Amino acid sequence: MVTVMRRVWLAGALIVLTGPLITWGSFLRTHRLEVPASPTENDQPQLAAYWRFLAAARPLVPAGSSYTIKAPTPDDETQLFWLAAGLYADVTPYPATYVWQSQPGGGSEAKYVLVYGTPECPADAPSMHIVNGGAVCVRDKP
Amino acid sequence: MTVFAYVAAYALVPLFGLSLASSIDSRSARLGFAFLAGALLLTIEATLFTMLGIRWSIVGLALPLLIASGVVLWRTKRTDKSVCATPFAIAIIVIAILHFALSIVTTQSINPDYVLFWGTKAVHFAMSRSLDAGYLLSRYAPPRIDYPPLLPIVQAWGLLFSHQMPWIAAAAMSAVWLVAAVPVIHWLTGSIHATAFWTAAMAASLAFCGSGGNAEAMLVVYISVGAAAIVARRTSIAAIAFAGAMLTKEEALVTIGAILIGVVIYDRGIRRAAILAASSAAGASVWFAFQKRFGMHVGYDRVTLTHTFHWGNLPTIFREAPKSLAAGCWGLSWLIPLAIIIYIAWKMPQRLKDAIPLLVPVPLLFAFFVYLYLQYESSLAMKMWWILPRLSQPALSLLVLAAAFAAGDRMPAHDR
Repeated sequence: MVTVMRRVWLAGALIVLTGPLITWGSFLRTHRLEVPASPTENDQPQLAAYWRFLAAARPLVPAGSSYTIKAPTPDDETQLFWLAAGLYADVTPYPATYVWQSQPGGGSEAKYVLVYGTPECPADAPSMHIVNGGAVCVRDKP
Repeated sequence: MTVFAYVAAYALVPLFGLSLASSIDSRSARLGFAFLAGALLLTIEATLFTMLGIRWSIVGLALPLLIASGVVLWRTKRTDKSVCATPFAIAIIVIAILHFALSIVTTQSINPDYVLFWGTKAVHFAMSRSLDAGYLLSRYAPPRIDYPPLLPIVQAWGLLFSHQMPWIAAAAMSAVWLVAAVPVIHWLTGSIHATAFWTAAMAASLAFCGSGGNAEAMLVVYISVGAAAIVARRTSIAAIAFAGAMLTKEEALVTIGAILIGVVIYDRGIRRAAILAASSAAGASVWFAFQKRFGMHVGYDRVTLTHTFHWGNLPTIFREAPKSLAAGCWGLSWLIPLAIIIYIAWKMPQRLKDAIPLLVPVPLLFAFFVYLYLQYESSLAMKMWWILPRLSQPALSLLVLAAAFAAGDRMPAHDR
């Protein structure tokens, strides 16, 4: 019984691993092996696009300053803000949208405006730096 | 350098837990369990530090735990038992773990929740060198502030060393939890072959569910070790593992509750169940005490039950469940242990008796899932696809372990 069970367990494990084998076969056929540009690069393309934009903009936003995010939809702004909380932890957030709800002030207190998508700066933040996926706009004040 | 420093921080975690692992008479299992216990002790200590107003530091957090481990090791005389492992089984275990780790490294299996709140919390906790209640209660708080703190604290521990978050490498550390569990499961079940299957099944499922960086791997490992320890009659190991599970994810509450029902049925008494319930409650109470101390809502807030049942959901539940239980291998990781259990029930039913604490929770958990999904008002199929693959993993692990114990022959080795 014990010998038979050993063989059953090992054969079963090999059968189970055929699932991952096929997954890898499919992945390697359709993807090049390279250092991913974001943590969700090959699984969540939309989150990956957000991440690449925020990572590209990060060097332009100094620690201790403040930022807000402008994006085409409230959903974009919500998810961008949550991602930014990890990448911009040392910067004060003034989200225009939080949990899909517009916020009072719309992020007007922020020094840096991270514009996702079409790089168009708000009128009060004319200084524009184009980055991958959007732009970083700087308000003269505050 | 950042990645190296982060990984080096994890290498210290087993040293923190040696004080709770000294009773284990297998070196590899002791080291594996010390990692799990170390993460638990680090979480408790870091939470208490914040409640007492002590800022985290590497030395401050490490020293008390290292001293405790040192004292226990110094006073313990040990004769380790040799562990039998076949190269083929080890090769399967290595391949399975590599599958999970490389799925994360290639960003096929990193969970969105990791970048949306788990990792984010870790960054803020490390930056403030505390379990930052100010951040959790801030106007722009992250999602799921009620989730227990073990995972972000362990991730923040790594950040104390690396100073910057190596996002992908930190997510890949989820595979380390599976690595830590393997020798413990082997030691408890007494079967490297069943352990190889368990590892393959859980690695396939964890990769399939996108469990890189979130708390799924930790929850599965704590629950699995705890449940296996119950059958192996190592109550203290089970108690520690369940306390860890309660500080990892709120779902632990339901799973442990179901397991304890199995324990009561098997024992025909409540002594062991009461001990395990007390340790689980003690784990959770550390988090609840923190919540109370800083004016947060006290308790778990994960499952919203309306108690309004939509019976029309039943066809969708039964139609969608098989797809969500694929576990990265067309559901074979469920079917193979199920076939083993059915065979044993038919040929040698008395062997199932000792696996009762693992078998009873499986149907109970599925009954709970149905109870839960009957209350969903909309988008049931989509929500099941999101949640059930992850939620069902502890049940999958329990089923495999039940088959392992029922089919094995070494349970008496652990009787004490």
